[in-house]
Amino acid sequence: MLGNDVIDLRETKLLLVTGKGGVGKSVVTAAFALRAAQAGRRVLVCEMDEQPAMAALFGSRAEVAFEPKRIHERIDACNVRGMAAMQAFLYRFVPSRRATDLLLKNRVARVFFESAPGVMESVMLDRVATHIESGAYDLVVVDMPATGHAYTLLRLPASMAAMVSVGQLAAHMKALATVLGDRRRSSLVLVTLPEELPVQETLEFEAKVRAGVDTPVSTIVINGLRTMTVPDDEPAWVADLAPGPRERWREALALARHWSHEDQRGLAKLEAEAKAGLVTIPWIFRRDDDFSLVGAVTEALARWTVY
Amino acid sequence: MASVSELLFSSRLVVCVGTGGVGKTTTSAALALRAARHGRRVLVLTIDPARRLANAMGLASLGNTPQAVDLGAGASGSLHAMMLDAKQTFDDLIRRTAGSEAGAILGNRIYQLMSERLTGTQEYMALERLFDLYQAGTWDLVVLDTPPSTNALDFFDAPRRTAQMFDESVMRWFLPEVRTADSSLWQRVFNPGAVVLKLLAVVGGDAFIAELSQFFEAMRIVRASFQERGHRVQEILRARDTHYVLVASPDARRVDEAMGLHDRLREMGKSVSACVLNRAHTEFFTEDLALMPESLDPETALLRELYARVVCLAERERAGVARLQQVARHASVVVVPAFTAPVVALAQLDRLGEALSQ
Repeated sequence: MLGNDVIDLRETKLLLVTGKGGVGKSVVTAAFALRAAQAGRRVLVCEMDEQPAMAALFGSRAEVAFEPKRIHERIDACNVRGMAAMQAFLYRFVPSRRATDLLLKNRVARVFFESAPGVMESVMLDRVATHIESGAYDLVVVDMPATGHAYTLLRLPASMAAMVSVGQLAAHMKALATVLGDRRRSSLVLVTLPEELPVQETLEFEAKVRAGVDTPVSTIVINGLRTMTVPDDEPAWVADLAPGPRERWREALALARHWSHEDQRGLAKLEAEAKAGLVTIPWIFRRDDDFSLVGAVTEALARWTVY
Repeated sequence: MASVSELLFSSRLVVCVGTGGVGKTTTSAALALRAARHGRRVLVLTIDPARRLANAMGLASLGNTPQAVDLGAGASGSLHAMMLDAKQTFDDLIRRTAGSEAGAILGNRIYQLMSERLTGTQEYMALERLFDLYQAGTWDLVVLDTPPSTNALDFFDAPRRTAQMFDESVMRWFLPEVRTADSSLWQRVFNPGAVVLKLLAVVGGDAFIAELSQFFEAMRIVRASFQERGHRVQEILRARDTHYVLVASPDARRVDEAMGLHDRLREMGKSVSACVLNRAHTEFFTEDLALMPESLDPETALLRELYARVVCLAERERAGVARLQQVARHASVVVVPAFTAPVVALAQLDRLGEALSQ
């Protein structure tokens, strides 16, 4: 339901953000982080991409890698993917650092760790859990991969538990499953556009998560809502324009009408069928750079969130 | 520089690459349809099409086998479409290559986990299926829609990673009888396999190791076939009549991603022949605002605001197109205007195909 949905993040320690590709997932992630930082909280954004984008969104030149780096006031960012993450992971489990280093220097061993399914995913989740437990941050925001891979990640603690029943990894995955299942401390946010396909996929993903994962989708952020008032009839002067501009004006009107119509329909479908809370972010037409966009989205988000 | 039309005639394989949410699947279908309309026998292999796209092609649902699309009377070419089922493809491959061991592999928990849930399997299997279909000789052109992925290029790495996964030197760690054959001094002093096993036992427990060993033992039988096919897929991906089409939109962030993909493809020795920028709103100009009447009534103000917003969008998108053109100097860049009507029938795919070939 829309209207009475306020995202209460006062006790949230872990905010997982995902969505179909191209819906503005990273920008919304950045906006959640900025909103929390503005409220005085110490925030860490974890990225899981080979090409991290968070620093650029904040207009920072920091090279974001495995160790958290400051990208904005009270906001650090880190990338939990890659061999450095693998090394830190193995350090946690193997008593001898020297053996681990030797192992990772071995070409064949590296190949195995890179290519064995599920290994890098375990490493990434483990790192996120480490940051939550460290106490260095009040809130950890994770810019998850797009929905398909995000589901695999969310399932991982359960999958691993089925496959590995004893050992340190099993214990760790269980602990992680507990954090993910704690609805007070963890939130899963799904970002979507109000267009037909993303809305359909969002509803399907929400149902899939509800059936297969302990962490339900708490909030659906409807990003880029292009609602505008468009007159039903074409203004008389448009017909008098030269052919070029006339076509462009007509197209602009048709486009605006189409946008409004499509977005209202998408919104109505989500209101009718989604179980999670809904919040809307208007389409930001004017933006000078990435950070001005993040700022505008943060402002729009502010009315929906309590920190 | 070849136009998109020329590509559709000269290629045996067109690979559509791009990040999610830019209309890659629809573009793949439109390109395939366009080639079929010009007399070629075409197959479009998609990963996860929206049901509506399947419906647009007149198919109630897509499956793991090619299905004929009805092109209407008098069509000289043909179009087939299919959707990849990674699990099904993997199981079929095991059944075909593993003989009497197939049952044991299909029953192994690690195999099940790997084939169903874990990242990367879809990529391996798309290429596996591509190999069969490409070799079949039934089609003049295969259009491959690559899986949406954070890192869209994981895809091209899949054969290498598959081959590595079943690399003999890795497998031998888990296979006792091969392990004892190692007798060099180096192997006795530092056997990476022993270290890995010990480590995995600490991390995962002994039962995990047992299952993993069983998995590798079973997979050894199919390994040769995997590696052989992996190499041949790489050859197909490098072939002269294989072309890469980069699909994006003129939105600044999508252009950044596209530029990154373009450069990384080049580093991999795969040059992009064409870039498609979908859903463009580039044809609106500030000057048009001066043409509206000087009036202060609220409706005119509203319209002015509305058009000004669209111009904002258009200016940003034109800048995006220009940036991509700079980077992709050797590719033809096609800007496809946003259609307000969704693709619900073949006619709309035809229209998109026309826009793509201009």
